[in-house]
Amino acid sequence: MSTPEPANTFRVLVADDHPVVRIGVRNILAAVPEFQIVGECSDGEAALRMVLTDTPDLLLLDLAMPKMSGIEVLRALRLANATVKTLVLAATVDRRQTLEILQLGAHGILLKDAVAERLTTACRAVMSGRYWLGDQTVTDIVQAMADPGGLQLPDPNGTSLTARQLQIVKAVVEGRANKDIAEKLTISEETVKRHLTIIFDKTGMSSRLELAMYAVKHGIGT
Amino acid sequence: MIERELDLARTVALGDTTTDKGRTAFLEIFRAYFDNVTATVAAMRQSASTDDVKAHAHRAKGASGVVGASRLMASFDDIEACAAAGEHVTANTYDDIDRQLSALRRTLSVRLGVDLR
Repeated sequence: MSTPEPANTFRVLVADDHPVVRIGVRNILAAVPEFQIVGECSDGEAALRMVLTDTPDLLLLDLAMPKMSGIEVLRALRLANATVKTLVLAATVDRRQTLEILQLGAHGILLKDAVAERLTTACRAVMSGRYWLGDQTVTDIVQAMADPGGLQLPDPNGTSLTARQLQIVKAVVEGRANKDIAEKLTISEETVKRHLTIIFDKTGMSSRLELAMYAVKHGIGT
Repeated sequence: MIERELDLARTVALGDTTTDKGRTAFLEIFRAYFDNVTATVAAMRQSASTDDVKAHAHRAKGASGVVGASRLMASFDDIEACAAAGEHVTANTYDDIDRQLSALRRTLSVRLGVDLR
């Protein structure tokens, strides 16, 4: 199998409703000769229409867009047998969404806080036929896809937790009380409680002790 | 300390500020960021719907991630969590976001020798 010639140019469509993301992607890829941005749009309907009419090689697709979500666009592209390769851009993504995105035919997911550092590498990986899943191991995903029941399991590698939630898990492991955590992160105690509710929900744990043991066992936030 | 406000390692690819072209690209994205996120925070202050606030916070979180504004990203994550719980965000929280935006704008203006206001 040969790698693409440097002269190859991949045509890219950027679909994201936030202008900052579109500008960022445009600026980053402008420095990479093998990628040429052929279109930009800010809603899902336009993304679908432009993929079908302009046939780009690569679609950079936001998940949360007006008119049609990224998931709905992926579903429609699948029904249309579109050959475009898709890299999903997401602010955060949980394991269930990750599986759904991959099952709908996307070739990878890039978190937005990794766009500046990883976009070029991720685009190259996808265009060479590989999948880009950031820090999530391919084995974990493949196992979960083979076992739909796995969708219900707590996420052992913690990738569904946001950076802030990982900070809170770390503080729980350190034995800090909510008030301490709030002071350390300069947020309110109520906000800590809200994050903890979401963390318990995502991990399936029901107490701080369980959460701390789970975090230590799986190396989350430690 | 700019490192607390901005993850500089992440911003390198957004524009090499030692070249004219890179500097233009860098300024373009930060101008768009400040304009957009400032307007978003104003809209969030006015909104009575926690669903709208959650959606605004999610978008602003993504934009903050792209430009490497780590602290602001965490703050929008806090707001998103609050709105997801169906609770209203206090004016103090928005004031804190505005202060962070002003501080980042000031720091970058000094560092780049341009007025980003």
